[in-house]
Amino acid sequence: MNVQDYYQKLNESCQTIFNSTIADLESFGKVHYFSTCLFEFADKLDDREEGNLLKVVSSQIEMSALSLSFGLYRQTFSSTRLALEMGLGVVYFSAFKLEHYEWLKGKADIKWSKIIDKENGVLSKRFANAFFPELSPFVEEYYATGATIYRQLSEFVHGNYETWEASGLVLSKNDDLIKKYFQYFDSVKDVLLFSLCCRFLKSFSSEKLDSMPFILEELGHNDSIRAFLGGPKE
Amino acid sequence: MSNFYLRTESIKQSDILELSVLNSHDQSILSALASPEPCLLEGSRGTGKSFLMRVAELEIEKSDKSFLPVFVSFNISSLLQTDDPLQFYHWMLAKALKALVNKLRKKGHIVSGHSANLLSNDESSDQEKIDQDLGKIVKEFEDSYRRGKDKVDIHLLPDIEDVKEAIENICEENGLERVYFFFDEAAHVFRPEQQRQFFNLFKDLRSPYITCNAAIYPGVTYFGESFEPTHDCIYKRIERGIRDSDYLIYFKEIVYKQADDSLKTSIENNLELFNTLAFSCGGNPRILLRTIQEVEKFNSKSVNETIKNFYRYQIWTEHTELGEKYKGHRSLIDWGRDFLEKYVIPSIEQYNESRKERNISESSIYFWVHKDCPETVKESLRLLSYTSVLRKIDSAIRATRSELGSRYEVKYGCILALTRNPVNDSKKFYDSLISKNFPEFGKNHSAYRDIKDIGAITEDENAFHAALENMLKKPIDVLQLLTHWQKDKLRQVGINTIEELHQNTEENLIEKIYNVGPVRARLIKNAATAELLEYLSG
Repeated sequence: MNVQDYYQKLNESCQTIFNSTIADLESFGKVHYFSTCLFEFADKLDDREEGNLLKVVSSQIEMSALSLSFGLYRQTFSSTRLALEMGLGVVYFSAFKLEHYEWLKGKADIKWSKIIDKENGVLSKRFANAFFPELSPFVEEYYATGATIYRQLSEFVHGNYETWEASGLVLSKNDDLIKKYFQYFDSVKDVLLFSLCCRFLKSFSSEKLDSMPFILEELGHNDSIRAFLGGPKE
Repeated sequence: MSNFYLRTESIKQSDILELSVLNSHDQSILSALASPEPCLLEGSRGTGKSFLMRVAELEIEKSDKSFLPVFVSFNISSLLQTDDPLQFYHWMLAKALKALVNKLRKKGHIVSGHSANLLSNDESSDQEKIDQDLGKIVKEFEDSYRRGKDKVDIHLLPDIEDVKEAIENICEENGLERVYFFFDEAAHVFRPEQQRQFFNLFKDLRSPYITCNAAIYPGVTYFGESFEPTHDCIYKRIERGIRDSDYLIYFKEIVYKQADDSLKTSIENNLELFNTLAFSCGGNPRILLRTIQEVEKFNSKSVNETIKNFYRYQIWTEHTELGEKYKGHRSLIDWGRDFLEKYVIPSIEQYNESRKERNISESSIYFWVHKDCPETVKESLRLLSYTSVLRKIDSAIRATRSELGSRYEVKYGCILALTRNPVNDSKKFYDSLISKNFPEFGKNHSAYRDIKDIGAITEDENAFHAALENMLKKPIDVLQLLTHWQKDKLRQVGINTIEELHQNTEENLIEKIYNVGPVRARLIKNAATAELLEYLSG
């Protein structure tokens, strides 16, 4: 067996995992759908750089599902974390332009600690009060979800011992990790969509809002968002 | 008190089934909604139409992967404002198709062209065809209503057959057997022309691959020429009669699904208080949850205060506020409230009082209105049913002198709230309720005087006439409610247009036309009024 044969075997393993995993059309549909929602959201942003960054987030979500389908679980969680970090990064940069330009020039990093800062981050009351005050009572809940899910995803990125045990060293399908991914994905989706809405919704024209039916679908249970989009009030 | 979800829209999809409480009547509605036949679900505000439709959506989804339920809500304040019926039709169609595309994407049946798309462009083009086809149709419809009718060649727009064909293709390509549309808040209660357009769409979308279901209000009565609710769909009403044997158990379970432990304990320790609140809501879960939420402490004093405050004032304030929103209907809304407060409820009270004095164990919350009362009275009562102050129990009921009419139920709480101690009085009052005797309001009751003539109920006669100009000029031939004989008779005395008929009172008609007495005069006037009423709120 030469190295080509070896990787051919790995490819075959991946294909076997792929065929079995992808059968869950609905779960993959859900993930892909969200990645397209993000892409559409990106198209609505006036700042092109912010839009481009959000499109990267959209592709990372797609990448996470692709990695999952091949059984590359560590990469799956890594892409998901990157999507969360960059997605909230878009929101952060939209309010802190100096840092955004520094980052564009490669002179600064996206700092999770700043993004998630309880007093000044994108899921802080200060932030909500500035852009969508009616959502301020909800930021705490999303802050908690965001912080938790980031930590859980990071365990796979940093290589905590248990995660090696869970994801293993050999390519094989792991139903527990698949389940975990879809759970984590739900949290990431909720946090990203909430913070994007909190930051940008009030700046959109009614025509833009009308062309994004997925917001009402995904966040219509929030009375303030629903009322803002013209739905029935409490 | 606990904080409750008062609207289905506030509940996350994933929590709906957990919160659902279904009795046999609800189950029969769910079966109708899941059947291939189209279904209309009628109910007042807050009776649970949206909730049941959501449950049906989830159950259909769970039962068979080849069924695709699509929920479309028209309860949006950005509801298209247009006088052009075709534009409104296209607006609804675009909304429905957008929701379908969204659902297909969410379920993984199609891939959107709007994505970061890790595939290269060459490879992705075929995959996105369906999305693009439907997307193109949606865009053409959207452009048509955004640009206005003058700028669009209507013949270039895709027609309903194109839409159905596109949906059939999607079904076949994805192994889907049927798409279920659930239209919530479907037909706007104050816009008859939009109601007609909705039912046209509802009927036009009929196909072996599509089932349409819709939730409508009791006030929705303009079904258009091509749609007959009795023949073209299964018609279901949400009925939660306070005299149903499982009524209290059912409502207790609804509350318990959302109540915290301390509230549950309070209810268990004060069941009579809960029963009083439950009967007071008259079968309306939202009102029950609201009133329980407003009770400060679960004791007699607080429950009495809440019942009095809510059913003496709040419920009426909300009804009156409708008039602020739909100004053309304001007089009808205000008159309806006056009629109830000044005539109906005092009559019921008197009825109950007189039986009490005579030691007859009978009480009522019902009243009867003659079938030939003015059209404006019927419209006012319909609006009271919309806000759920009233519930129409049945029509064609015989009353004194075998006259026919409709029987209505006033919300239990609205009658009970008038007593000094509702909690104390409720049990005896409820136990003696009978629906076969009731105060009656004939076809010419003096209370109708103020709104008998539609001209008198409009605040701004000039504006009303300006809006109605075209309608008023139409010949009386357009009045479908009139017979040929009646139209001939009208023409013989020089009444050729709706305006001329509108200008004549019932008395004039009796005087001018041989063989037309009070009954026919009322019928003839009602035909013209019914035609004009729909332009009130525009």
